[in-house]
Amino acid sequence: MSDISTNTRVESRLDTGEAGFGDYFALLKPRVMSLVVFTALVGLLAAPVPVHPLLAFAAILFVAIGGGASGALNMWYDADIDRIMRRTQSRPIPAGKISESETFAFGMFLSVFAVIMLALASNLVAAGLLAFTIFFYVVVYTMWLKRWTPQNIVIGGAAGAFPPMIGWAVATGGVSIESVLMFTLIFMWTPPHFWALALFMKSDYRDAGVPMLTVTHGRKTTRAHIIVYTILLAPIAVGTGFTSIGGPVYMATALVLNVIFLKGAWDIWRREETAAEADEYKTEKRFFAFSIFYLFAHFVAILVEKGLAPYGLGGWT
Amino acid sequence: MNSSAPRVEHEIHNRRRSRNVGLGIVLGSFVLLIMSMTYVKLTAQNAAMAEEHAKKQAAEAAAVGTATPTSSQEKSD
Repeated sequence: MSDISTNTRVESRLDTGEAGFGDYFALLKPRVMSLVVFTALVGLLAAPVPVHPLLAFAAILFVAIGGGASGALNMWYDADIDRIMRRTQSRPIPAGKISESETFAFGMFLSVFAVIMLALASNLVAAGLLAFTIFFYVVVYTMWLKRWTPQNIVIGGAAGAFPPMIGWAVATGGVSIESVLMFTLIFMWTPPHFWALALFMKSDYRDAGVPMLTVTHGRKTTRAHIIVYTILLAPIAVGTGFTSIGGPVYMATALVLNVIFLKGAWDIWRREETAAEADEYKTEKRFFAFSIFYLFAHFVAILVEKGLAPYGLGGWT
Repeated sequence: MNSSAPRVEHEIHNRRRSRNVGLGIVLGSFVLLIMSMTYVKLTAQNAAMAEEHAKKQAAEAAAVGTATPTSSQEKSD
């Protein structure tokens, strides 16, 4: 009885196209959106120009909607891949909850809406950066790089790195060395983060025909790439500490985290594939989980420096 | 089969209601946000204009103040 009612419910959903509110929200990739919101907020708060709290809230909201819209357009274009990969089979399009054309219209509308509203809430530089971010993620990464080159996430990672720069532009109306460094921090962090994921989600990418480095160049090369990018990331993360958004707290955080991150990358590089398979990629999974904390902690440290500034404790002065 | 039909109707209506209520809340919040943004922007703009006006008046007063002694000085000469 319960089986029959479940089947009827699924069929009715496919036939009617009546998706719930939560299904549309899922199109915005809420988890990715949370990273966008957090880093954009840090960029905005770390800037030397104060913004009215309501305008700051509105600006971050529109950045989040823009980021979510690009996620919806990504789901529209990648629906064929999402149907194959286990990790993405429950998304609204593969699950039959929302049609591809509806997703496209939803994503396009929200993209234009978010850019216009950000321009009205803050300034044209921030809105221009948001428009470029959406374009970069949808056209450059999703449509072009993702299915073409194993360097897809290296260049495509730029899309996820723009939010703090947008937040900074909301406050200052421009770009500076600090916002470029925050961008670079996320940009250089993205490859080791995703390649670690690719090492233990191996069949998913291969089955979907996505040319991840693990598929095209093998796992040994991927491990080498992880350590190279982690080495390149460390001076950027530490170097940010010498700018106006850095300070003793940030510097101590960056030093400790980068030593641990480098150690993790070194362990991944030294590992044989048989050993990794034997313990079900324990080291790779640990490195992946730590990479999320790594980025979060760097941005929290920037916030702490800003928060301490009124008490004469933040920064180097 | 017949017993499952009302359940299907009910499920669809629930989903539709959730979508309508959600959209209603989103639109209502959007209107409130635009109103608040307009208020904040206009208040800030008025404050900036008032400050600019005060500065202009002060500059004019200073100019008159410096101009007067000079003219009286010319007269005495």
